[in-house]
Amino acid sequence: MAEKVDFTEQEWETLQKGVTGSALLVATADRGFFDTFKEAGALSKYLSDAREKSETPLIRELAEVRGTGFGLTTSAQEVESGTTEALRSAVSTLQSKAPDEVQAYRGFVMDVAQSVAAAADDVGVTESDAIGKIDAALRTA
Amino acid sequence: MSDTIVYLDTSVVRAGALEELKESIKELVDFVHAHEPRLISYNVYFSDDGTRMTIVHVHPDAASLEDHMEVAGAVFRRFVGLVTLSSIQIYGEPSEKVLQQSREKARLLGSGAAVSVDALHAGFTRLPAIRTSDP
Repeated sequence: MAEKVDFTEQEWETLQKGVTGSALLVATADRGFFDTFKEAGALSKYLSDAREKSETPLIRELAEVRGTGFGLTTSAQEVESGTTEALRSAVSTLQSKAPDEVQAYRGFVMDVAQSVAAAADDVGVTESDAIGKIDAALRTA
Repeated sequence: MSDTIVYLDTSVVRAGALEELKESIKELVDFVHAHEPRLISYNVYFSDDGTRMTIVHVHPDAASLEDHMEVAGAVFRRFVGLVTLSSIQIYGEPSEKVLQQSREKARLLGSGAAVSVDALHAGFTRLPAIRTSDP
């Protein structure tokens, strides 16, 4: 099983950015960034649960991430392009270094995105579109 | 020497935004309380006339302030339109990353708010003396 030590610092940051960026991408889809504390709280809680309960060591380590991986003044367009780029790069890295972990990573990212979407008062078309973009990026590496 | 970091920022409350700001700040306090277990204290004050808001937090070390900027930073945009950040004052020895995060927060909420750092000269911290219960 792969662990953090199997990746370079840059690869690890990209793997984590794919996770947190996906949460941010869903949050920016509607009202803009983490407009509700529920969405930001959902990300934090999901990561906390994953740190404690995930059966995959790699996912437990990835869930140690704090913050979003993006600056406070990053635009929504930059979040989208940065996240989809990170996801493609992350999957490509996993396919090359830890192919057995690709599915776990994809599942983790999608679960994070869906938990943030579910935290919004209502899951609209924009959140669904964002989740579709995340799913597509995870599959096009 | 103490590693404790004290962070203080002051904002002008935008006209007509006081009630919404007070509600949002309560949510922020709950969010910080739930997701930043290392933070020693986090308190928000308003002037009598409701035109000025001051936030003061005390951290055990620079890493805790970095963590605050990462975790709570995700919701700082909520306050654009509610306040104009006037200044950020940091007491202690913040990391370079904290300074970058603070400058970015100043740009986001204050468009040019000053960020200052004062180094510790002398003093002590008695953690057991700090109240842990909520008001």
